[in-house]
Amino acid sequence: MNTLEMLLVEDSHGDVVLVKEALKQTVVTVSLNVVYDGEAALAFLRKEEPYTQALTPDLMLLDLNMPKKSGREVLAALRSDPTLRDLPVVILTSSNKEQDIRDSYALCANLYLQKPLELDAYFEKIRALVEFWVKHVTPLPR
Amino acid sequence: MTEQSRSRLTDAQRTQPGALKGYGVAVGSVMLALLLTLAFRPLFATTPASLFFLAVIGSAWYGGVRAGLLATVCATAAIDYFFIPPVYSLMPQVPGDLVLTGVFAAVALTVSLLTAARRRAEAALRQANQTLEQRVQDRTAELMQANAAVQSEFTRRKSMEEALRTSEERFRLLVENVQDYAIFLLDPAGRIITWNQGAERIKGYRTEEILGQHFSCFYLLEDQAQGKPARKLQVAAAEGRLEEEDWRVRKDGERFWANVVITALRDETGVLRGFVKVTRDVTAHKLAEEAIRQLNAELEQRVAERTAQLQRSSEDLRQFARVAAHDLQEPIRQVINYTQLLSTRYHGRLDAEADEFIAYAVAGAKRLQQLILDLLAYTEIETRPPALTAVESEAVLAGALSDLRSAVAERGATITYDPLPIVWGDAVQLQLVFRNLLANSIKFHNTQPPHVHISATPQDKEWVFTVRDNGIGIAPQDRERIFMVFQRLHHQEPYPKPGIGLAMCKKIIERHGGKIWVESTPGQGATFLFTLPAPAPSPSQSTQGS
Repeated sequence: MNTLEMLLVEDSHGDVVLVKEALKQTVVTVSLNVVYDGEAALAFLRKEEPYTQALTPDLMLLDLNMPKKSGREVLAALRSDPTLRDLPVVILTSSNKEQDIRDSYALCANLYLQKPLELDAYFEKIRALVEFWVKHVTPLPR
Repeated sequence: MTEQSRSRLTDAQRTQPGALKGYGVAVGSVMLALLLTLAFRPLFATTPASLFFLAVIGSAWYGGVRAGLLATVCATAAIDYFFIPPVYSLMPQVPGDLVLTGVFAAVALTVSLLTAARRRAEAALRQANQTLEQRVQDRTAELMQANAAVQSEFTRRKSMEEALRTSEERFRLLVENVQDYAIFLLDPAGRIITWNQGAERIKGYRTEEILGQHFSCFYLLEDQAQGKPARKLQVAAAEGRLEEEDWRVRKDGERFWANVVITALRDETGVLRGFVKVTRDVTAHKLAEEAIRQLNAELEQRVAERTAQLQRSSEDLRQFARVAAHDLQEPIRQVINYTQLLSTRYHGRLDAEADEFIAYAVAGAKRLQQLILDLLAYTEIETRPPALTAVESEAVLAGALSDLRSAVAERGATITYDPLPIVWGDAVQLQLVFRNLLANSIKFHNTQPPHVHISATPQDKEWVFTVRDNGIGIAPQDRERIFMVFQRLHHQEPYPKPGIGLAMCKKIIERHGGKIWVESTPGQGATFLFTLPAPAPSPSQSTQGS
């Protein structure tokens, strides 16, 4: 089984820990990189300093409400960047605002996941996502 | 005329029998003259004819020409027979006597003719006199009659004039003494011809100084310059009457707000005779009106400002509630997640009390989460108008019951309902109403298992829904408060802390144009009632069976 290269863009350290905890419970191998704001996410993906050695991820988990650049702005920047516009992006946010959901899909987010209130549900959602992605999804050719 | 002809007829009748009578008188008078002359022969020895002349004159006078002739013949014969010798013979002895007899006869005849003529003339004169008399009488009668008529007319007019004078006097006194109204007359050119006390009081001019002046002196100078007074008269003359309110000026130059009525006066042939002008000083009234208008304008302005303020602050609050609700989700979720992580990761490694504390923390965080979700739902009801359609309320109730399945089962609650109608409303929001009311009734149950019954009755163009429970009931002082956001009524277990459910029900019902209230006897359950509009045309046709 291949390793899933995954980038998590999340300003909340608590959530980063929870995602990491969730990944511990999966049967797939995930190589997780974490950045804490939108600008860092774009720098990582464009392999700019200090991310010149970064690998292009198979999947990006993107929070919406972040400092510097919001998830929506990051998504918009990616979709208008010829080298990055095909990158699979999953929105992972606590927002259930209708506008956020519509905007995300309008910017071609591949999935919109709301962070569950219950810890078990949270873990289950992350586990299911990565397992489904690894087992069933045909990745973008490199 | 008729009387004159009747009197003429009477004269004619009188002359007819008079003819014989005339002859009788002729014969009689001659015989009387004969007898008297014979009786007193010595006296008439020299003039035996004298009495016979009288007889002839008398007969002619009385009986006319013919009687005169007869008397003349008879007298001539008598004289010849008795007094002309030879006596007792008709034949005279001497020719001189025959001449005498002839002279007598001729004289007698002449006298007779003259007398008769005179008699006729007298008669004609009498007749003429009579006619004249009659006419005088007739005319006199006519004149008297006319005079009587004139007299009666005169009397009538006099009494009318008297009445008119009295009435005019009263009217004049009335008008002159009116204090609150200036009442005066203008001639057709607009010059003042009468004045009353009210006019003096209101306008400030005394009678003697204003009579003959033009009424335009009551107008403001600028109005005079614009020719307003003349225009007003023209309008009054053309339309018969003009009423207006405008500024006028007193003698001392002070302005006052006047109510003015100008009425054109025309005689029976339609000729303009002048105008009557009635003016009232309504300055106080006008000022009061102005003050009220200004106050109203100020009030309106303040209301508008206050409304705008309230709208702003209300919008700010809604915005705040929305932002708070969304932004609070995140930290609460983390509290919940991490307390749960703590609980699972360290379960059994801490003591039992620690596990219990963690459970409380999780429960509290979840409750906070629920309150925020409720608040969010509440603000969304306020910002989103209801999508109104014809809604089967029974289906909506079924949806609410489905949401509450676990709570109903947990508490062993019984929910019953009558056939419910179709109403005009937003199905999603009405389901929230039923869910919140039922949840409330189930939550605040008594010692017995909860029993809730729902029914609806038509009233005018609405339906009144009733949700009756057998729970703990609501104290009178709490019946308003329960519909307010986050009002706590029950501070002790076992009742869960109240939420926003009833406030949400109130908001939804009111946005549907209905109202909601509660009737209750504490300890004997509560009945929530709310009204919803029926879809057109009438409530009774939309009842649905269950």
